[in-house]
Amino acid sequence: MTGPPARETAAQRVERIKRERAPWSIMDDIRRYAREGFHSIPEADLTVRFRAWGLYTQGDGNGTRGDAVPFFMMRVRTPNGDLTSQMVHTIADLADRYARSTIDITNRQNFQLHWLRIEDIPTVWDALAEVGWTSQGACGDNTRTVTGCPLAGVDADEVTDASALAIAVDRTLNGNPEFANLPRKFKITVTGCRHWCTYPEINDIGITAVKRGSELGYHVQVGGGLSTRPHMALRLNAFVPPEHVAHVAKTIAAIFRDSDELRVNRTKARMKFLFVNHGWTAESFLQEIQRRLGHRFDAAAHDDIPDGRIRDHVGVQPQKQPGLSYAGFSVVSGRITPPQLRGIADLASRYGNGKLRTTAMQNLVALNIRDEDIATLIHESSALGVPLTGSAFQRGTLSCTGSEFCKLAITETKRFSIRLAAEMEQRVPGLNERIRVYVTGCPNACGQHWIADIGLQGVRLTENGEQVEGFDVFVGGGVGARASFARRVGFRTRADEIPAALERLCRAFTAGSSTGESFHAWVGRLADTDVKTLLAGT
Amino acid sequence: MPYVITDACISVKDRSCVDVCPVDCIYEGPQQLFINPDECIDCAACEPECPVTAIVAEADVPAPLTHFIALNRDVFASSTPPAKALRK
Repeated sequence: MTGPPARETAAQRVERIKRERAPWSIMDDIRRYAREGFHSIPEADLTVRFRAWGLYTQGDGNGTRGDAVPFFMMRVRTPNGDLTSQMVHTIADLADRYARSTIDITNRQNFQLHWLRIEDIPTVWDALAEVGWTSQGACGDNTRTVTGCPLAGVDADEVTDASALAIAVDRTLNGNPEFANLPRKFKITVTGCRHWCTYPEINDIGITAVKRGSELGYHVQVGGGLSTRPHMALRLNAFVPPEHVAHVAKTIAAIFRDSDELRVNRTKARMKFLFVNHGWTAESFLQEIQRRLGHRFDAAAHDDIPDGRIRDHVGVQPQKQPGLSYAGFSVVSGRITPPQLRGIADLASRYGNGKLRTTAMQNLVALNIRDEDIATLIHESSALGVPLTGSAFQRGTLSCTGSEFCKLAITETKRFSIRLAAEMEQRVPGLNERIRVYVTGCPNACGQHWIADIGLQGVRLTENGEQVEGFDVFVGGGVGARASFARRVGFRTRADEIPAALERLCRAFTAGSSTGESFHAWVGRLADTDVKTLLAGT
Repeated sequence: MPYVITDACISVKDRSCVDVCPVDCIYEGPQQLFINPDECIDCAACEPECPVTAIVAEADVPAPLTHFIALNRDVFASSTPPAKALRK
């Protein structure tokens, strides 16, 4: 084996490490490191291969200014957000025992445990495995958790229950050695939700159910993603029968895998760059899929694009099954405590059949609650501190991990966004419009600020020689029929001045919008300078 | 590994990069903009904003332009260091 070249780019280094040894092959090594201690872990495993097992070292709380510490974040892969109360109890217990009780629900329907020591990783894995759970493929250059609608199978309004298909696609690709080394992360959603609640527009593959007359099929979007170069997925002109969906997903993953032109720069390696930089179009991409499959698809059917307003499934609503309802709990920014998790799991067991799902808005839904028990469930859940009917701001707030644990973040986001939601409720009470405020700690946009009504992206300001945390404000992002990326309006301020700035903007919306006009539409007809003036209050 | 501003910026100084830099690490000299390598956090936000593709990750700077890596560093140690660039 030859050593690394003298001047090796970040991409060359990662590609070399993945080639030298498949990341998924080191599970037994990780178990050995657990016996031998953190300092026994080779750099190439710690910084590259561990990710394929859902493990990142966490930061020291100072984000990009700080250092890694010998503790891990473990992302637990939860396809379609599918959970049982037993699983929820398991992860709550693991959080208490090994993760300093720190646990988050992510916007890809996963859980993240923090503060794990290498010594405890095998025990955590074994406990997860007992309830059919894994962290394999939750991070790294492979297919990430395949997401899907948390109401699949119970929503009276859904096009179809696509959860079995989502989980089948997940199982086809995760752990499959053919797809162990992709150029970069690869995100898929498969959904039958009429509201596209898992954001197919910003996935590498967004598969959505559609009806052609009475015939069920699927539409496919490709190349979505955010980060520093946001790109809405392109819709392919194809009507894909259900039995072809898994093959299509696998074929697209193979096209991505085989695109060596993406392996030269880590910041331009997501599949969207095939369309942004390498000349691919929706038409040529579909042709390549059909060529590889040896099958031609019919043209796409008419699509009812969702309006893009409500995608969170919070609250108590009747299911398609008579006598049953679901209960969607609003977890602000996905931060939840183990007692809250146990409490919700117990309610799901006591008044339903113990089935729960996480959502792409970082919430938790209990399914199959008997209607006669709804009143009792609502009463008992009030003590948990996780509301079933969140306020406008509570329901619309989402955030990334932030500098509390993430080594790339510029600002803290979890505590900030939770405080912000509470403060906005007090500053602008009774707001009917649910304004989506998404908070992200750096330009990588894990907090999805590009698709928010109001997006906040972390920055660092220098004031009187001191560095303070702040945010750039974006407005007017949307998905579905409102698909557009939020605009940076040139307003940057300290974190502690954000609530007052947003209050001014929201009050101007209340005063200046016409009857029934959405925040998205209202802010869309304002010039950036006007928005900046409103935010600044000058 | 910081980002580096190379020759395409000379006499252009568009400053779109300045608007997006989350840590204000871009400075303005008489001819071109510079990224302070000690302040850059390698977030890549500036790179797609440059209308003349002048911004490159340090490890990816093409061979004929590698002297810009030193230039972006040395200018801050000179007797006339550049001032913070203003956002548009």
